[in-house]
Amino acid sequence: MRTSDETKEILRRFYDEVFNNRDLKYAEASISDNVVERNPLDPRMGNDKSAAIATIQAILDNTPDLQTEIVDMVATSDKVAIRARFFGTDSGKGWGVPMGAPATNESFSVEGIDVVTIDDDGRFTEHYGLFDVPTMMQQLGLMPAPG
Amino acid sequence: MSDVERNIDVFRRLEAAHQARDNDTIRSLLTDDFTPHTAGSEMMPPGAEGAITANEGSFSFMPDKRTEILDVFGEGDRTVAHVRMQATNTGAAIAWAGLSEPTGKAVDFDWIQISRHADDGRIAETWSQMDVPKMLMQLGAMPSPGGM
Repeated sequence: MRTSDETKEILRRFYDEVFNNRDLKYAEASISDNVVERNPLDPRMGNDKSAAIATIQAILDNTPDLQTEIVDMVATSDKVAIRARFFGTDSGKGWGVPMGAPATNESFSVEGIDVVTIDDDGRFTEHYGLFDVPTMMQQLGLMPAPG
Repeated sequence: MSDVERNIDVFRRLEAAHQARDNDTIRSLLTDDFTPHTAGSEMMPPGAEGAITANEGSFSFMPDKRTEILDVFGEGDRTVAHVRMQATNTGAAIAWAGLSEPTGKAVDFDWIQISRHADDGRIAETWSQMDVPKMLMQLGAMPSPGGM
């Protein structure tokens, strides 16, 4: 059985290879063909592996200079939660596209939480994750600040 | 019962207390210096009273609010929970979403929370992410995705 530290190491490496080094092939290899993606970026993507990959692809496409920094991790032998900061510039296809806005070229820095279940082979079988969209939209000037 | 099991039990009791609007139990399960790190929580009163204000606010918008814990686990002094909320906006208008009237619409969305527990199990800090875009789309306060 994996230790919680070994589980965390799998996700630390994944974040580095996929989000910081933009290696989509690493994501393809890490995610099980039977994965359940509970929070696709766009609900029309569905909930299977193609939705998980399309979500990652969209995050990379929207932010050509994306970097991430892991702030906190909580793990068991088969599950890990990652709280991380995502920062970069809204460009490429643009984060505001779903709201009808072109890329703003403004920078953002927001936190998200991902939870991944990992099988005995080290592949991801389930993911749910959310990030702070309201704060991002405010930083990009696409939504007014509260109050 | 291990500390992690005790912490998970505290989380479950706290979620049930929110659902039951049992404010004394909410106060008993949070530390005196309880601090939520969630966008918007800086506008709430400090400590447990902020959690109670936020919960009562939700009920004022959505009197039939109900939650379901989909997943919960822990390690050390942390617990992680995935919670689903279903409700109907039949109460007050949700002004912060730019709505001037109650919509009567149903919402069904989720949030994820990491909690830090004090040595006695009470919750001292939380970090949450809520699927606000999904909720706003369900209320008709934000357009559904068209591009991408």
